[in-house]
Amino acid sequence: MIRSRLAREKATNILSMYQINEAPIDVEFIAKQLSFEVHLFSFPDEISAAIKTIGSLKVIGVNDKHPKARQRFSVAHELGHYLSGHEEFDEDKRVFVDPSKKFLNPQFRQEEEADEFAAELLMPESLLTQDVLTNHLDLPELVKKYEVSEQAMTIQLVNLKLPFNQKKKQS
Amino acid sequence: MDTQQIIGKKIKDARQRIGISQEELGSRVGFSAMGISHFECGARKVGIEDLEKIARALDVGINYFLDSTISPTSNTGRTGNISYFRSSFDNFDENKRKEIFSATSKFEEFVKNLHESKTKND
Repeated sequence: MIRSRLAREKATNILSMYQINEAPIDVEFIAKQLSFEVHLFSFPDEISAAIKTIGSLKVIGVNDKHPKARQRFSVAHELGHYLSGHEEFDEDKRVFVDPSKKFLNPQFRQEEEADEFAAELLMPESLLTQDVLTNHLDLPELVKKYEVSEQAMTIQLVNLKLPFNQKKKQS
Repeated sequence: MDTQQIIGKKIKDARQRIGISQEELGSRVGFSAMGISHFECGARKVGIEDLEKIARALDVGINYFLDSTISPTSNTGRTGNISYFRSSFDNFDENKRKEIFSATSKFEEFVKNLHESKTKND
């Protein structure tokens, strides 16, 4: 839980560092600021994105066949891995646990952390709260505004305990 | 640590966890103790077929080894490992695993070429 919160704080810090306070969040700009090159790459459907670094070259490859919203999330997720320093986890510091116990698996925790980071980066709590509670945007409107998938938005709303606004009546 | 060394370390970890010797693992998968030792220190490349045999012998899924290349994401600027963000990798058939392996190798190659071309231009 604490690790998740840290991942979210990291995202908040990045946004304030680059003075980003408007949706949709320009994740490619952020990647660029962090010296990443983002390239579309032909991956099988199961791979959303990959990171490879050689020296100072840092490349994120994104599945070229995935929808734009998913590509955005994938880039943010990879940045989450990078910024959380997940590189050392698999080596000597790794504590082995039964991989079938998914929630105890460090690998799974890392994925979760990267997801938390990505969610907060693309759908920052402060902006989203305002759009839901003050601007009364409903789910499709939020999805459109933040350029994320409906699934990602739903999870974020639930995690932030924000209500789902009903579709506005046609006037 | 390159991918081969990480996979080697994974083999060693899994072998020690179930408490068998290099010799014992070797006899289960058709290699000498020396062969296993070379795999474990990354001196010898493990092919996907052998990795599958080793996975079975050590009672782990093949993705245990492949996943070992997932998380290391270098932010220290040293020779980078590769990190893959994947959906569920369980229950993949052999062809799918090969497809994934091949795609990720191609991506590594792509980045290597990019790096070389940039180094040349500098």
